[in-house]
Amino acid sequence: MALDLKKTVANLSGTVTVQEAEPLLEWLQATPKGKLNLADCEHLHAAVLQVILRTGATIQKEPTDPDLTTWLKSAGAL
Amino acid sequence: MTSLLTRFISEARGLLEQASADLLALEKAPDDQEVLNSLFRCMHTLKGSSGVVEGLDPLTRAVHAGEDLLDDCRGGKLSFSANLADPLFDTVDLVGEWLDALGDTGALPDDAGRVGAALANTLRGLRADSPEAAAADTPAPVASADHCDWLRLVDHGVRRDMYIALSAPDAALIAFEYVPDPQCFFVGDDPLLTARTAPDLVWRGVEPAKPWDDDLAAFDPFACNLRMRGLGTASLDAYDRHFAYVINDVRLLPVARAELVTLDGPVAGAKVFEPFSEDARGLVKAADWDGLRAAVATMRSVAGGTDGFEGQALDWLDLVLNSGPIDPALVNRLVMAIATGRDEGGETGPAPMHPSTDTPAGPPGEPRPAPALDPTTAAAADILMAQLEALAMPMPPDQRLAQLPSRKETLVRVLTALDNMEAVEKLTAIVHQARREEDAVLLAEVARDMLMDLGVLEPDAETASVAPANVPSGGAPTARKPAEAPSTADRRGRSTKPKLREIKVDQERIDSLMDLAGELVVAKNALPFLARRADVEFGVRDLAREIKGQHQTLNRIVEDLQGAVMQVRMVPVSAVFGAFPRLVRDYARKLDKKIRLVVEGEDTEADKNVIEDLSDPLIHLIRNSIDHGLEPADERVAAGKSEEGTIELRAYQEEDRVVIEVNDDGRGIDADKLKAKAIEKGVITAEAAADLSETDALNLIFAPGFSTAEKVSDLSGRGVGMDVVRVALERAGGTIKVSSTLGQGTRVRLSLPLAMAISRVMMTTLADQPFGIPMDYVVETVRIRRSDIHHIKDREATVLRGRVVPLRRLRSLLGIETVIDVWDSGGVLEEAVLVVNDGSGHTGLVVDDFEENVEVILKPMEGIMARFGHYSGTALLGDGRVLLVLNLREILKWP
Repeated sequence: MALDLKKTVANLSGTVTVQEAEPLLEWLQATPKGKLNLADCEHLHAAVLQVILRTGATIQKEPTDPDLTTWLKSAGAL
Repeated sequence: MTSLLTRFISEARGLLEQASADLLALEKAPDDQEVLNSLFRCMHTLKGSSGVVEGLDPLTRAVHAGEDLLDDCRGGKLSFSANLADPLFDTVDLVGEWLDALGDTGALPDDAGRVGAALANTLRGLRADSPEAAAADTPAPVASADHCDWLRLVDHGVRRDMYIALSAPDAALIAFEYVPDPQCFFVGDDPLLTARTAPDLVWRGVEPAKPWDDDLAAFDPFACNLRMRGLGTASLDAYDRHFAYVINDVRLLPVARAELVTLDGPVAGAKVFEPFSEDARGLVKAADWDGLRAAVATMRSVAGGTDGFEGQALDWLDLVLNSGPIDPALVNRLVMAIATGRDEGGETGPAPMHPSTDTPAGPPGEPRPAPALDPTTAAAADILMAQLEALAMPMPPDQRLAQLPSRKETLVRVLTALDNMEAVEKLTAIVHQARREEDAVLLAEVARDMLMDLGVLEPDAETASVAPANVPSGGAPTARKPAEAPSTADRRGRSTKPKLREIKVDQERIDSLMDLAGELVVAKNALPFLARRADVEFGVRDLAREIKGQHQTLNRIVEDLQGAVMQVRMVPVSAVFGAFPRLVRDYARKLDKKIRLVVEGEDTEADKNVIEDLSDPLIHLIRNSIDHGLEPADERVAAGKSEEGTIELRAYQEEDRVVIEVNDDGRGIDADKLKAKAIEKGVITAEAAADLSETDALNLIFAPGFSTAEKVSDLSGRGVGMDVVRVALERAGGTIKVSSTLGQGTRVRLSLPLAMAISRVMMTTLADQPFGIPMDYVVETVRIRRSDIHHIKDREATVLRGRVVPLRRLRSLLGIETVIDVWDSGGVLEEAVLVVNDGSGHTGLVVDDFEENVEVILKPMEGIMARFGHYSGTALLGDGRVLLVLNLREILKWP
C-alpha cells in the first residue's frame, strides 16, 4: 500500500503513483494538522509532490532515499 | 536503409530545392501569393512525408512549425519579411543537413531533438499569435536560450567542485531546466521521475513553475506546475537522449567554468582591499599569476573568513588561480569585482550566437560607470582587453569568423561610448574585410590600437599581454557550445557542395536521350543498306565488307547505349507494391476479414511507365481478391481453411517481360455461375456459353459491364470491372490471364513488356508501301493457294490445320486500290497471309508481301494524325522510310 491514511499521519511508502495525489490532497484538506511519513518512500509522482508543496504539509519523517530527500529539500518541503 | 527512407530523402531534397527557390523569390517579392503557396506546399508535403517515416519526429516538428508560420502568412495574419526568411532558411538548411546524415547513417544526428526543438520554438515565436510577437515590434529573441541564469541557486560547494572538475580537458557540465507541459500527467508522464533518472546529476532542484494560486480550492493536483533543474556531468548527447520525449520542455545548456563563479553577500567596501586591488590589477595586466597567487593568499589571511562579497571573490580567485588552466578574463573579472564592489558577471561570457538580434543587456561589455579614475575609459579598457585576449585565442577559422560579428558589436559599443565615431566606420570596413578573408587579425589590431590610444597598452607590452591569452577567455566559445549547430553563415557556405549520390532528372530529358538513342539505332540501320549499294550498285565489294564491319562495331555500342538508357528508366516494382500492405489492411478492416499479404520479388525492375501503368490494375485486382475472392472468416473455417486468408503478390522477370501474379486462396471462380450470369446479362448467348471451355468461361469476367458480386460494396462492383483492367494492360502492351480452382483460389497473371520503348514489328508491303504489324499479334505467315480460299457469303476464309480462319484483305480494309496481286509459284496462284491473333481468335490478313522483322522505336501519332485510331504509331526505318504501324485491334473491329 503506497498510501496509508491514518488519523493524523499519512504513510507514504514505495512508489507513490499519480492515483494517490487526489486522496492525499483530500486527506490533507480534511486533516490540516496531518503529518507525512516518507521514511519508506522511494519515489513520489510529480503530482503527489505538487500536493505536498502546495499544501505545505509537514513531513514528520524524511525519506531514507537520499536523492528523494535532496529533491524535497530543494523545494523547501523539508 | 529502407526503401521508404531512400524515397523520402530523394523526395525531400526536391522539396527543399523548391523551398529554397521560393524563399529567395519571396525575399524579392514578399507579396507574391503564388510563391508563398508553393513554399507552404513544400513544407506541408515535407511534414506529411516525414511523418510517415519512423524516427524523424524532430524533422517533422521543425517543418511543422515552419508550415504554421507560413500558414499565418497565407492567411494574411502576418506579412512575409526578412526576419521570417532567416529562420525559414535555417529550417531548410537544417533539414538539408539532416538529410545528409540520414543518407550516411540512416538516422538523424543525436542532437536533432534539441536543435530541432530550438528552431521550432524560434519559428513559433514569430507567429502572429505568439506572445513574443505581440509584445514587441522587435524580432523575437533567437538567442534567448543560451545563458544559464540560475546557477547562483546551486550550492557554493557544488560549484567549487565543478569548477575544479571542469579544469580537466574533456570534462563537461550540463545544466537542464525542465518545465513540463501542464497536461503532461494525462499522457502518463512523471516529470519528477524523468528528472530524477537523468544521468550523473551533481545537483538537482525543484520548485513551482508559477506561484501557487492563493485559493487552495482552485488547486488542481493534475495540472503540472513544477520546474525542475539539474546539473550533470554526462555528455550533452546523453541528456538529449534522456529527455528525448520531452525535449520541447527542456532547456539543455553546457555550463562553462566561468559561469560557475557567482558572487553575492554584502559588500564591505573596506579600505583594506584598496591596496590589494591596485596591486592585483597590475599583476593581471602583467599576467603574473604567481605574484597574484601570493597576493591573494596574503589578502585572505588579512581579510579572514569567507563571508561577504569580497571574501567570496577572494576564495574564488584562490580557486581559479590554483586549479587547472588559468582563465585570465575570469581572474580579471574577480579582481575588478573586489576593486569595484560589483560583479560584472557575464562580461567574459560567450558572444551571442545571433548578433543580428538584440545584444543581451549585460554582456558583453555595455560601457557603464565604474568607480575608477576615469570610469568610462577604465571599463572600455577592460572590455578591449578581454576582446583582445579572445581574438588571440587559437581556434578554427570558421569559428573565429562566426564570432566576428559579436566581437565587432562589442567594439562598436565601446567606441560609441568613447565617442569615437570615426573608428566605428573604420571598424565596420575592417570587419567586412575580415569576413571575406576569414581572419580576425585585423580586428585584433583595431582593439590593440584603441588600447594604445587609451594608454592602457604599451606598444612593447602588447605581445606579453596577448601571448598568454591562448588560454580561452572564460573557456567560453569553445567549451560553452560544443554541440551548437554551426552558425547560419557557416551552414550556408557548406551547403554549396552537397553530396550528390543520386540525381533527379526530369523525365523529359531521359525521354529525349531515349529518342536520340533510338535515332542512332535507325541511323545505324542505314549502314547495311549502304553496304548493299556499295556492293550491288558500285561493285566495290571490299568497301561493302568494311562498312558491314563498322556496322557490327557501331551496333554493339548502340545496343549498349540503349540498354544503359533503358536501365536509367528502370524502377523496382516495390514502388507500386509499397502501397499495398496499407491498402490490404484498410480493406481487411473495413470488411472485417483476416488477410495476410505476402509480397515476393519486389526488386524486379521494369520501365517506369510500365510500373506506373501497373498501379491501377493491381489495386483493382487486389480489391477483387479481398472483396470477391476471400471468404469471411466463418465461411473459411467451415470450408476447412485457416481463418486468415492469404493474398500473394509475386513479381518476376520472364525473358523480356515482367510478370506479376495476384493469387488468393479464396473461394475461386465458379465457371458455371459465371456463364449463367453472362447469359443473364446478355453478354453471351446460351448456345455460345455451352460451347465455352472452362478457361474461356473465366475470360468472361473481362467482358465489359460484367460483375458477379451479389451485393455491391464500396470496394468493387461499381460497374468498372475487369474489362477496365484488361484494357489498361493492353494499352501498355500487356496481357492478363485468369485461372481458378473452385474452392481453392484464383490466380491472375499479368505480363507486361519490360520496356515499351522498343517494339518488334513485322513488316509487310501493300502497294509498295511498308506497314508494320506488332509481333505480339503475329501467329504465323503462310502462303495459301487461291484455290484453298473459300467464299462464305461476301467473306473469305480458309482452313489451316483443320481450323477455319477468316480472311481479311488489308488493302480493302485500308482503302488501298485493290488489284488482284497473285503469286505465281510454278503455275499455282498463292496469297500471302499473315495469321494474327487479337485476343478474340485467329484471323488471316491478306497482304502483298512479307518483309523482315525490325526493332523500331514506336512514336505515337501526333497532331491531326492522332485521330486515326487504326495506327498505333510511326517509326523511322534505317533507309529513311516511314513505317506506319497498324493497330490491329481497331482495324479488325471494322466490318
